[in-house]
Amino acid sequence: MSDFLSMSGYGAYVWGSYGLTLAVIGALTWWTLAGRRGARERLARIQAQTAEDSRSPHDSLPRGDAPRSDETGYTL
Amino acid sequence: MLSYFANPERFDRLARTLIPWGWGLTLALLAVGLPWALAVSPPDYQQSESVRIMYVHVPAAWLGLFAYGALGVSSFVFFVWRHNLADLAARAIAPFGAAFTALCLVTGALWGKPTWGAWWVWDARLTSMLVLLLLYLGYMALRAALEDERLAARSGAILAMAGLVNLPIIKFSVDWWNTLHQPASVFRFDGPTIHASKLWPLGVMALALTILFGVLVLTRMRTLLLEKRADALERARERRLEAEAREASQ
Repeated sequence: MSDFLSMSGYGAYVWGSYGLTLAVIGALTWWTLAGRRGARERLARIQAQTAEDSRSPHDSLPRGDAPRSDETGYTL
Repeated sequence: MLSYFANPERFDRLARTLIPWGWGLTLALLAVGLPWALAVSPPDYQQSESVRIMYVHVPAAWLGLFAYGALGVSSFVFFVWRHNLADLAARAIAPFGAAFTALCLVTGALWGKPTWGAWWVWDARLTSMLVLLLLYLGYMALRAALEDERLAARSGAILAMAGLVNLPIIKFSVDWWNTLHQPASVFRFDGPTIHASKLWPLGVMALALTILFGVLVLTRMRTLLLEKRADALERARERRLEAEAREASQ
């Protein structure tokens, strides 16, 4: 076992490389999933606000500029 | 077929199906590849156990190059055909490509120190890999700096395409210039010169990281699509509130 860990004296380099690789993989995965969660929450918040707007009592304006579905999908 | 999936909703459905399979495959391949690379594969007769660094260093290098190729191709498709999804792919790819290129440089230093006696040398291979990292960082900085999304997308695409010239320089740097770095031993015209006992675990590790890269990019693209929808809704809401305010003040 200690042979395996020492890697014939190259332990620091070998384990350092693998540790770093796993750390990078873990960090990228975390960043990606956290970003997705953040975007979901933001979209839900804005959708809730939009729905709230249309329920409010002073709401008698034409809805001409409400987003059409093709507009919300992608604009650039 | 590509234009079929250029529709954001179809893309989203396809990505949603592929992503769980990708995670599963990544984990399975890592579960096989890591013990194979660290314990089962034989030590090198010259480099002893330090050769095991290859199984993470080389896949990271390939991914850094592959990702840049994908960034360049996506940018080209966006630039010529104005497929917005291609621009989204380019944006999604860049940070992961940068991360794997950086990982390649650092694991390379960790391999270089015991093997060459130096963490870093300014030779053609190492320098052109550093340029690759700078291209990724420049691309991301440029896109982040430009407020106008259209302009950011177009100038980013031009920068990404121009940077493609660096890829053959990296690939052939070990042939064109004197270097400490070893020459190609896998992708050669006369076939791999690396023994099967090392080629197989290298292949498994490379496949694991490539599929992981694909999963991360697809997930990131879905996130960027959500952000686009949120942006559009927010803009529409602001327009409406402004209109209401104008109406009320009259």
